[in-house]
Formats: sequence, structure tokens, C-alpha cells
Amino acid sequence: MFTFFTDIVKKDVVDRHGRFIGHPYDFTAELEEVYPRITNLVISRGVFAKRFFVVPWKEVHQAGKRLELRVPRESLAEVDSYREEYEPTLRSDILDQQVVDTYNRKLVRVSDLHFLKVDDDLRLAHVDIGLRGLVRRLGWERVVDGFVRLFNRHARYLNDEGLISWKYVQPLSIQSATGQIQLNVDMNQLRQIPPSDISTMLMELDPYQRAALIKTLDVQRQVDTITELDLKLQKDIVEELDAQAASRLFERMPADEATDLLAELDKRDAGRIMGMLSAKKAREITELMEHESDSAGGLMTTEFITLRPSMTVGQAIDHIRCVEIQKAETIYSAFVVDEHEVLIGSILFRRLLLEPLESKIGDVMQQKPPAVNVDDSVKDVAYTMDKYNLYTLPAIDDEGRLEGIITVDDVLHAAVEEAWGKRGGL
Amino acid sequence: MDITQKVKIPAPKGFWRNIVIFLAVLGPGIITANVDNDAGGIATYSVAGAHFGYDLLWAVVPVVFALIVVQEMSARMGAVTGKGLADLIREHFGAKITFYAMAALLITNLGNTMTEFSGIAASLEIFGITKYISVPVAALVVWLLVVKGTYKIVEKVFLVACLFYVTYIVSGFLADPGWGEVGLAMVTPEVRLDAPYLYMLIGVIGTTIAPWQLFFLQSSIVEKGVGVEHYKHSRWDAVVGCVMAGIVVFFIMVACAATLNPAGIRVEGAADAALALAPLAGRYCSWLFAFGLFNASIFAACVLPLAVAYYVCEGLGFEAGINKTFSEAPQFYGLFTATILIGMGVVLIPDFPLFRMMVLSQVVNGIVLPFILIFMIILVNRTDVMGELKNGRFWNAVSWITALGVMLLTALMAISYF
Repeated sequence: MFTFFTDIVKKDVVDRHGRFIGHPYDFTAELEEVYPRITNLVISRGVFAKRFFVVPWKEVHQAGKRLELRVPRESLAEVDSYREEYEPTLRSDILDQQVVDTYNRKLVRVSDLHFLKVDDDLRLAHVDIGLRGLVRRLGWERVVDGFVRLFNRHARYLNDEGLISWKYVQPLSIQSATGQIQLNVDMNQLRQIPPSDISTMLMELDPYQRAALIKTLDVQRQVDTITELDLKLQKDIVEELDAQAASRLFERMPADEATDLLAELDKRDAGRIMGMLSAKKAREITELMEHESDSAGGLMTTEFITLRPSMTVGQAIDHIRCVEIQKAETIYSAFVVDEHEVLIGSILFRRLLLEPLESKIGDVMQQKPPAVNVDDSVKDVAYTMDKYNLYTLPAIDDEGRLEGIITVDDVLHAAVEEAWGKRGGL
Repeated sequence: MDITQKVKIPAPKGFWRNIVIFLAVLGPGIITANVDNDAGGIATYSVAGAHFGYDLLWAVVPVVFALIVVQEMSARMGAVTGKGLADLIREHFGAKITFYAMAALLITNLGNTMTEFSGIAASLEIFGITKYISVPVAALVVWLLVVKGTYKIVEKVFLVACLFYVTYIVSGFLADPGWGEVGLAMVTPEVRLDAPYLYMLIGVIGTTIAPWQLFFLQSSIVEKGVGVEHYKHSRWDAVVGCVMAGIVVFFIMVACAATLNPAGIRVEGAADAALALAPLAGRYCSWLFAFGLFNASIFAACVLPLAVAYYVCEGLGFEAGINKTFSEAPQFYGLFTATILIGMGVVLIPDFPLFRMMVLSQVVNGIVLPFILIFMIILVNRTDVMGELKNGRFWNAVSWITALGVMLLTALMAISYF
């Protein structure tokens, strides 16, 4: 049998002799379970200066309109506040709070809680995020239901329950002691949300929830999520992390994005993080910092795949597979350089797959590929990409040496911002 | 090579560093102050000065002081919690209280929106444009500006046009109000217990410290992402905004008291109120006034209905934001559109007494203020919300006196009507 939080808290609680104690106020539960079992009942007494009793749920017998305790009133200890000892609780950490609906991939606010009652066991089954849940909280359910029924017996309001199964709910309440989010069921639900959707949710959260939610993700997903955000928000999040966690993040970030973010940070923090990065990553970032952020050099990444004209197609494929694939940002095309690192050609991966394995790269590559100078502006980059229909564009220095590559997503970001501005919240 | 040398960060020291940060966080407080001096504000201060002379002038300093305290609390809560006030009320007081608080906010907001459209109607009537044309057109323009997201671009234009208030300062001096008398009126509170006086006083308080302001500044701070470490700069932004608003209030009242009151003019329309600018602009005063009133009205009409729809949805857990589509956020767009339509519809009633209703809406603001303010005071005193930065004793004293004082005034006014 199902019952709502709003209905339970209206009941009377009596002790084993039938003497009135108070009303149910709050519950604690094993939130890690698929359908969390209620473990403790908090009873309140009084209106303004509330006093509380905490009783283990196994001492509670649910008898129709009231809850009967199996213990006498005298055995209960009255307290002013129970939150320090029992955390999280349903009333203060779930009800009325924002949670992640991992099924619909958005943030929702909990209006009511839906319990499943089996004998004396009580389990949290759903959270109610619907309009009707809100009306129920206000105590107008019967009036409003009757009114709506008067006009339309099959109104969506009456049937659309707005219940979300607990297994799709990720609470965001933070345990003040550890600063951690209570993790729900298994992480799979959260893992299935695309990083861009998590980024959208992050923007709606306060800084503490933001940092806590980020910490629940693994490093790769942290990187994917954070790089979707505005620089300002990226900065806020990284500042909440300790230097070690931050450096792990930077290690995995594409060098161009890492550079932009590092430039936003406090000098001392940036220095500390740089000190903890691998020598290779630190060098890449240092090189990128020499360029203006709105030039080709500022957009480019130094992680790309280079081939030699003397390689065969087979060697090239092997080279890509075992040596470079994990550190390159895109895998649409590879660039061919001579012994002085001067850019002499490019080849699409598709082309590479179609050519006979023994052909020489020098014969099948596109010669003199379109490229931009590292000092060229974002506009030049966008025009060149558009003109030649490219996903990746090489950036070269004055001597023609390949310095980095620019991917279409970096340019799109700059172009969109230029054309329509940032997407505001309000 | 020292790698950190390459990190490009402007890192000025001491005084200049503070100035740079101050300019970076500058804005929310000053925008709030200027939206605060909206059509309702101009109307209320004009009527207060014209009908009561210098009698209400003493109230300006304590009211602005209370405004500073309240806005500082807003800024602090925004910076510390990173949440809007509606969110905090919902999370700490539950659905029931939130619903009634939001209902009260919505009612004042309907009044305010009506006031902004009244301002538009009154100002354009001076140029001979009938309200049956000006108001629907303005409503459509406001709706489009906001929903299409182009509002942010024109916001700066409105802000610059707020320099119009300077004309009241000049006019105040040119009217030569007898500064001795003004100074005396400032320091000798004259509390009368007749209904019109109390009505006016509540109106002045309600328009200066409007309920929506408590939400507005806090949300702006959150949206700007001002953290605890920069909040002391935001605090100055809030104070500067409040003082600016206060100076404007003072001079509107002085200018009206010096020009309209001796002539015995009852302010019933924009043309009457405009005469306060006559010492500066002569016979062009009504054009000048119309321009200022129009700018203030349309500025606030763009900001208020949207902001309040946003807070209500935030508190009740509906999706909100103009980057969502209508089907994603029906309650948000519904509320926003309904507010504008109702505000517009009421003003279009034939023979609608524009100025009198503008003042009335501000009195409603004043009556509702304590109820919202009390939630805010409770929240700002909770350690689990504010940590170390909860209210000090002095701050509590000022804010409780404000809340209870307005309640007392409301009770007195109600009694004096019978």
C-alpha cells in the first residue's frame, strides 16, 4: 500500500499505553538501497519551540490512523535538535530540495515523498515532483481535485502523477561533516547522462552542490563536463578542488582548454597546478600561453598526429593505433611533416583506410594543405575552415613549421559567441 | 624558467586591486537602485512632496538606512549561499510557506506592473498619445524584448537614461527651497496619526524597500557568481546603489515640496508632477518629465514581471528561464505573460486614476514587505545557512525594527480609517 509523506505527518503518534506523544516530523533511511528502508522516525511536539524524539522504526507499529510505539513514553529522550546526529534525513535533505532526475536528465524540486508500506516496513518508493504534490502539501488536494473533476474528469492534472522512481533520483544534499553527496543506488544512472546535460544542471546549482556533484564523477567525465562550461564556472569549480584533484583534471584536459582555464586562475594556484603536471603537459601549456587567446595560436591544441612522407599507409595506421591515438584531440586527419617539422601535407583517415597498405604516404597525401599562421585571427581561421570544408586546420609558424591544429568545435564556440552572444540564464 | 610568469593575470596590488575588483562586481546594486526608482517611486515621492511639503522628508534618511541594511543582507546571502531567496525559503520553510510568500510577491508584482504601464500611459499622454495605443504597444515591446532575449542589450541604454534623475537635483536647487527649513524638517520627525499621512509614509517605505528587491539583488549576485571572497566589494556596490537611490528620493521630494506644495497643486497626473521640473526646464518641463517617467517605467516593466515570474517558479519548483521553450516552462511563460496582460488590461479601464493607483500599489508593497523581510531575517541568522557570516546584533536590530515598524504603521493606518 502506498502513502504520502504529507499524509503520514498528519497522523498521531502514541506510545504503547496509547498516550499521545506528538506527530511524525522526519525520517532517516538507508538511501543507498534501491527502495530505501526507513530506519528512524523523528517525532515532533509543540508548535513554535519544537522538541523532538527519535525512535528506531522497528519500534513503530502502523495502526490505521495513528502510529503506535512499542515503547512507553518515559523511555524516549527529548532533544532540541536531531540533525547533527542523524544526517541525511528525508525532510531536510530530500523534501523541498533540488535533486537530479537521472531519467529525464534534469534538476527537479521534490514536492512530496511517496512511501510503500508493507506490514510495518516503510520504504521510500518515489519522489513527487508534480503540481498535484504541491497542492497536496498546501492541504488543498481535495478541494482542487474536486474542482478540476467538475470540469474535466480526465484532466491531465488528475492522472499525471509526477512521480519519479527513487532509483532515478540522485539527491544533491551535502553531508556537512564530509562535504560529500550521499551517492544513490549505483552510479550507473548518473553515468548515462551526457556531459553536456550535466553541465546544464551544474549551471543551476549553487557552488557547493556544484563542487560536490563534480566530485562524484570520474576524472574523464569531470573533464568532459567541465570543458562544456563557461570559463567563469570552470574556474569556480576548479577553485573548490584541491591541487591534486585539479592537476589530475588538467592532465586529461585538451591542452588548449587547459591553457585558457589556467590563465583564469589565481597566479599561485596556477603555479601549484603547473608544478604537479607531467613535464610534457606543462610544456604544451607553456607554449600555448605565448599566443593571444583570440588568435589561431590561442585556439589551437598541440596534441595531434604527425606522419612522415616516407611511411607506408600500413605503417601510418599502426603508428596512429599504438603511439599517438590516446593523446590526440581529434582523429579526422593526420598531418605530414618533413625532418624540419615543416608541414608538407595532410591526409584524412578515411583516405588512409581506403588506400593499399603499401602505398607511400608521400604519394597519397594532399600536398600543400590549407593552413593558417599562428598569429592569424579567429576570423581568418573560421573563413579558411569554411572555404575548404575542414574539421581540422593546421596552424604553422613563419617558417612553415607545424605548431598545432585547430578543431572545428573550438572555432564554432568562438563564432557562436560572436554571432549570438552567450546564452544567458535569465 | 618560471612557468607561472607566463600566466596572464592582471594582479594589481592594494588600493588599485580593490578598485579593479569593485568595478568587476559593480552593477547589481546600482541596477537594483535604478529599477527601484520606477514609475511607482516617482509618483509616490512626487505626491509625498506635493501634498505633504517637507513633512515626510525626515523619513528619507532612516528608510534609506534600512534599505542599505536590507540590501547588504541580500548581497551577503547571495554571495554565501549561491542561491536565490526563493530557493532558500523553499528549502528551509517548506512548500506551504513558500506558496503564500510567493502569492504575496505575485500580488505586489501585479500592482507594480500595472504601475509601470500607468507610467507609460501617463508619460505618453503628455505627447498626446492615447493610452489605448501606447500601453498595448509598450506591452508588446516589453514582451518581445524579454522573450527574445534582446533585453540585455538595451539595458545599458535604460541605465544611461536614468541620468534623468539628475534633473531633479538641479531643479531642487533652482527652486531655492529654503535650506534652513529643509534641514529642520530632516531632523524633526513629524509623526501624524491621520490616515492620509500614514498611507503616504507606508507608500514611501514600500516603494523604497520593495519586496521584489529582496529577491532581485540576491539573484543578481548569484547570477554574477560573486563568491564569499568578493562579497565585501558587492556590499559596497549595494551601498552605493542605495545612497544613489536615496539622493534621488530626497531631491524629488524637495523639488516637489518647493514648487508644487506652495502652489497647492494636487498631483493627479503627469502634467502636475512635471511642474516640479519647471525651475530647470521652464515650459519644457513636462516633456522632460515625460521622458524620465517613460524610461523608468519601461525599464522596470522589462525587469519586474520577468524577475518575479522567475522567483515564483524557482520557489515552487517549476522550470524557468528565457532560454527554455514555452512547452518546457509553461508556468514561467504563463505567469510572465499573464502579469503583463493583467497589468496592461487594468490600465486600459476608462477613467483609470493613473497616479492614485500608482501610489496605492506602492502602499501594498509596504504592507507586504514585513512578511517577506521576516523570512529573510530568520534565514540570515541561521548558522546552517550563513555559517560565520550570519547577522550581527546591530543588523538584526535595524531589520527587525524595519519589519515590525512597518507592521505597526499598517495597523495604525487601518485603525485610523475607522
